[in-house]
Amino acid sequence: MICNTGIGLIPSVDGTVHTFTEQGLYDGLFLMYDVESGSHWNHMTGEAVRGPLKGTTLPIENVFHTSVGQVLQESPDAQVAWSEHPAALQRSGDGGGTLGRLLGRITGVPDMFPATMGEEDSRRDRMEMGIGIWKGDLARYYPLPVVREWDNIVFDDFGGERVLVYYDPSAFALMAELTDASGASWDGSILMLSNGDRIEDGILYGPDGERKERNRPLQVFTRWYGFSLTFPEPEIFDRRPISDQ
Amino acid sequence: MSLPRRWLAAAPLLAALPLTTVGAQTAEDFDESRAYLGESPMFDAFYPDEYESLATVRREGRVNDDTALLVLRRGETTLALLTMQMSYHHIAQGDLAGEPWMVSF
Repeated sequence: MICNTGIGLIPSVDGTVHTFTEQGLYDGLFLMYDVESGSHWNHMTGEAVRGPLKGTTLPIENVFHTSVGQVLQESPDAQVAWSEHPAALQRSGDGGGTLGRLLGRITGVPDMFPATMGEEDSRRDRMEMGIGIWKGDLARYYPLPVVREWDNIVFDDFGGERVLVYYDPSAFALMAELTDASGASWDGSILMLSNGDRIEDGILYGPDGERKERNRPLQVFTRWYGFSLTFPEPEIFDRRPISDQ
Repeated sequence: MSLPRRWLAAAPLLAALPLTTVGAQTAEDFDESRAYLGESPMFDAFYPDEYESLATVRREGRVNDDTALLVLRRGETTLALLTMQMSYHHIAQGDLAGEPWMVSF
């Protein structure tokens, strides 16, 4: 949670569902542990790093940061898994809280974290937020301050595909999306793409006004230390803004 | 018709950055000497066996429009978890439309 990395995983090994807990710490990131085999797992890559299942990998998928308003716009019949655990209720007791509020409470890593961390990559600040995307051996990090400098929109080529990275104002988070658009601009909180698409309240619409399927690379809206320790020496998107003044 | 200047300004960004072989850490890179390996879970994971309508939870005032969520999708079904609740649990795991799912945060 300190690194803000949210990942979806399929908790099944050879067709059998295993029960997972957070049990351990490595590189300042929690290790997962499965009760059935007693193995420890990297929660960002889904690979067992220690124990009988070492080397086994769980399928991973995107989990997106978003907001209630955005989800209900996109999926009015969405379900929620609501925890009644006292410690969880204490944290969500005043309406749940925004992602900005949660991130604002975290200014550094707890004392026990540094001893677990490998050599840090000093190109960016440890606690900086950004979005990391990856495919195969290619991993790239888009720092939030750099995206901000570009009016919250950047385009890039990622492994031969065009990717749009933007700050979604209704989700309070960076998002990455594959697209054939080559430019974009804001109309209020609506992102207008040069191919006629638009992203409004987190929903992608085509030029005909109908919803379009999303095409999103694997991504995490995370802190620099978490991404760079998991994906050593990642590329950093660090193009300076080109003034249009 | 001319393109907005901001769109033109974005065009140079489309030039590909050099591709390098990076890749994620693997199990072979794991250095146990600096790992903290607890003998018990540090937090209680969340294993929900039922879900509620998000719209209903919103109407009841347990969340508001700006409440942060983590969302996953299975086919036509959208399942949300409260980010603040996950900041305690760290792991949630269950079954949706007959398929197992897990979120780590």
